[in-house]
Amino acid sequence: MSPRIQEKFHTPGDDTDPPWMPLVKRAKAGSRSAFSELVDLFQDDIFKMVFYRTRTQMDAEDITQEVFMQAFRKLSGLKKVERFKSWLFSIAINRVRDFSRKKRFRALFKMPDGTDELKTAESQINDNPEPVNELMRQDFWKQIGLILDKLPRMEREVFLLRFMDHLNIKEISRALKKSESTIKTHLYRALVKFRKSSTTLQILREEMT
Amino acid sequence: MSCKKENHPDESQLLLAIVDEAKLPDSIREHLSLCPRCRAGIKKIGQDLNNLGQTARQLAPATHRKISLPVEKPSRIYIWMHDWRISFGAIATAAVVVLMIWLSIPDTILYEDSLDVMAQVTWDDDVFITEINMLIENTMPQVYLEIIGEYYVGIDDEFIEFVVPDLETGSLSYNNGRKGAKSC
Repeated sequence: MSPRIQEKFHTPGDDTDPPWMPLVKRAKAGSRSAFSELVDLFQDDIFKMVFYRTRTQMDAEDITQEVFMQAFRKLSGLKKVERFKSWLFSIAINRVRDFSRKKRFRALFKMPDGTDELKTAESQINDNPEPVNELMRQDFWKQIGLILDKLPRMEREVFLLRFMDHLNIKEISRALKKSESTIKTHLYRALVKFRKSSTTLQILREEMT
Repeated sequence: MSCKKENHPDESQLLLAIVDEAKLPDSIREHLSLCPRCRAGIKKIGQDLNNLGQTARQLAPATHRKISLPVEKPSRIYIWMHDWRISFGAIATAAVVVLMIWLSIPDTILYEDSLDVMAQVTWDDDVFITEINMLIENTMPQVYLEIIGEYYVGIDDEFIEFVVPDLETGSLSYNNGRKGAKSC
């Protein structure tokens, strides 16, 4: 059984060590090959996590690269190896936050002509041989964006980490450095607001079917 | 077991049950444990959220970029060893070069140089001895000698002879003044 599949079966209340723990220990001791294995294991999760927040593939790939570079440099400072996953996600969260801040700052000095979005859409359609699927994909992310952008930052982050990145409450609390009780409160508020946006939810259900 | 309709929790309580069931009042928790309809409602919400996550995962693009890690740096000991070798090599090379230059200089050049130095020292010694001898003969400085008239600069016997010619040596001028002599 691959580490990824084992991880899927790793329930939140399970006290057994996660399957990637030996790899983290070896990587921390200086093994590049062990770290490469960790990259293979978590690259897709981190890339998707970043993409859910930036919604552009190129930016998501750049930030993913930065996340693993930073993790490689700082791994020796990680005290509890069993917290590697939440630690990696916390790095990613911070990098995304920096990216958003820079983007907002750049937007102050740029005319909002929407050329970036057009370029992104065009490049993605050109990459995809099926434009209909690509349009559906874009519509989905547009709707998700409309729902999530209405939420306060903390509620949005907790919601994404729980239901789209599939982290448990404990991992979220470690990644965001907040108590589990605070995380549950934010999650509950986000969930109520999410369910209230019924029109968008309906569209989402159509997309899912 | 049947449950009364008015006792069913609303959606917000079902959502709280998904997030943290322990925060619900005991009566609702008891109801949820017994009511199949409410349990189905919780399950449905959970499935919707799970489907959302799955759909997002499917509709997110795949990354094909390979993560590149920083270039591996050599260990500190290796750097020290490496530097030590470089330093030692540089010193040894410099020593060999100096030695080769020293050995390549001909002996004659060194000998000639030493002769020149010896001649200079000898000349300096001579000048010094001359000054000492002069002081032995007359300890007074030259300025005082001029004041007392014992030392006249530029007035020698030839000059005195020119100013006051001797009678014997000055015959030509005498004959020139004689009667009948032809002046030129």
